[in-house]
Amino acid sequence: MNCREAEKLIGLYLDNEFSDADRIEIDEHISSCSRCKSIMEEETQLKQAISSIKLERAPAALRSRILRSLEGQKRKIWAFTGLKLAASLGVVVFSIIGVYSLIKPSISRDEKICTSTKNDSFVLAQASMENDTIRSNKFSPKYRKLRKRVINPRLMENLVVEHVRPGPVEKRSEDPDQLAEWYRGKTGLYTPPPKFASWGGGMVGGRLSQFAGNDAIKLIYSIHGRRVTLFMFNPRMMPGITEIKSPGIITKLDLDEILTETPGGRTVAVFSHNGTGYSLISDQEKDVIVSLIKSIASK
Amino acid sequence: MGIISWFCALSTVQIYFHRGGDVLFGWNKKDKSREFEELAIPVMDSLYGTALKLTRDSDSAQDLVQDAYLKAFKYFDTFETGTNFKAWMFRIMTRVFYDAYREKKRRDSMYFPIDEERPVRGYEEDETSGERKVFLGELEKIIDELPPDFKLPVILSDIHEFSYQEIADIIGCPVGTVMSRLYRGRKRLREILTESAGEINSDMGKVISLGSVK
Repeated sequence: MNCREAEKLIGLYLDNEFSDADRIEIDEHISSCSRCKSIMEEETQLKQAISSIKLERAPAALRSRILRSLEGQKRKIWAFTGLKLAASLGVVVFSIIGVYSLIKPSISRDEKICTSTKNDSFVLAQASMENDTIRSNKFSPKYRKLRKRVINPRLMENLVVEHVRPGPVEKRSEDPDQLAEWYRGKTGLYTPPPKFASWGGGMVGGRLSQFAGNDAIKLIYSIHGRRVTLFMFNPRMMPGITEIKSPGIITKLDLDEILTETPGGRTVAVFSHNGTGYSLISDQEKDVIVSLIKSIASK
Repeated sequence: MGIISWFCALSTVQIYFHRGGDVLFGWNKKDKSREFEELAIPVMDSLYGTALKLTRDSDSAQDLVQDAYLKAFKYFDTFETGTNFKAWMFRIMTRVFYDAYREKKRRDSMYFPIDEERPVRGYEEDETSGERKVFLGELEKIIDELPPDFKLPVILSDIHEFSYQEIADIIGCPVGTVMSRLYRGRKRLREILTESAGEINSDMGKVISLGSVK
């Protein structure tokens, strides 16, 4: 080992970054070289002197300043965590709505589908054969409460307009059988119209019309001098419609689902029975409408 | 819409379980911040003392240490428990310092005061002899005047007793570079001390021997 090499290694020697074998080699050189020995002494003293330097301590103000700023950071993290929590809750809610919409496709979508085929011939007659497509009371009460109502504000508004301004009747007759024959020929629907005779009802007439954007038969009655409008349609076009099996098992929950009062105080009902969809709108009392529904459901 | 919603929900659940829950809900954050404070507060003196040597100004040193603490807190998740926390903090502070140092080349900035005067400091140690105080004061002044690249390895090695490997990690350079900078830094110190000894005491040996007085 020459002096140049030794000088470069003295620092490592003093910093304990050497193996014992290398130490022996340096020791040997230094013991025989006064120049390098002197450098070693100077380096040792310098290292000791530097290590004895006392660095200034952090001022108390800095300590509290840092603790304060860390608190600020923590608050930011918590705020951000809150945002993330809200976002994840949003995703959960979004997924629940998504699942719900999978179970029950919205009315507006069905309206679009039906509108695109509405120029086709009447399909009312097929309804009775497709009872299986009608969603009836098979859902739990909780789910039924959550479900989107079939009678939405737009439908309600259309019904009120149709009821208040009924337009001229195509077939005027007080005889339900005659009317049935008339519309059977035009639509293929064999379901006879309800008579409501026991409630003092009288048939006025009927016309081919539209219900929720689809073909329907519109029948007009006069019960105790007040007009009752009834639509008969294929219930397939309203997948969420409530099926009333028989008048004996109409529950309060069913009534909540099928009955709604309009802002103008009229009562609107939408339901299906035996493969035919019905919608009633009247200025009559709610109890009268319920009786009319029961009368339809008893057939 | 349903499919997209399910996808979102599943992704959320996956992320949640993958990151052990703390990403979404931050349940572990409180403990983490307490752990950080427990580790970080005791090393503040060492960091500040070194920052003061680097910046040569108390206000700039305080800014540097504070920035280093905030950055360390932000990235505390990346600290491996059981490794040398002090070295980790020094590494962060060194990076913050060098980032500003590079920035300084474009414009004078934070950690470099316009007034280049040394900060006034007091000596707490009463036992130190008057001559030794003068010597240490002189030595510190010389160290302060070294460029950061040479000053920092000397401080880290001789004052904080970090190993070469730790210094290399802190500065972010190979061990060979640390050796070379230490060698050149110390050599430069010896040269300046010899020169100043020639001016002040006309006896380098005396100055050096004063340095060894305990």
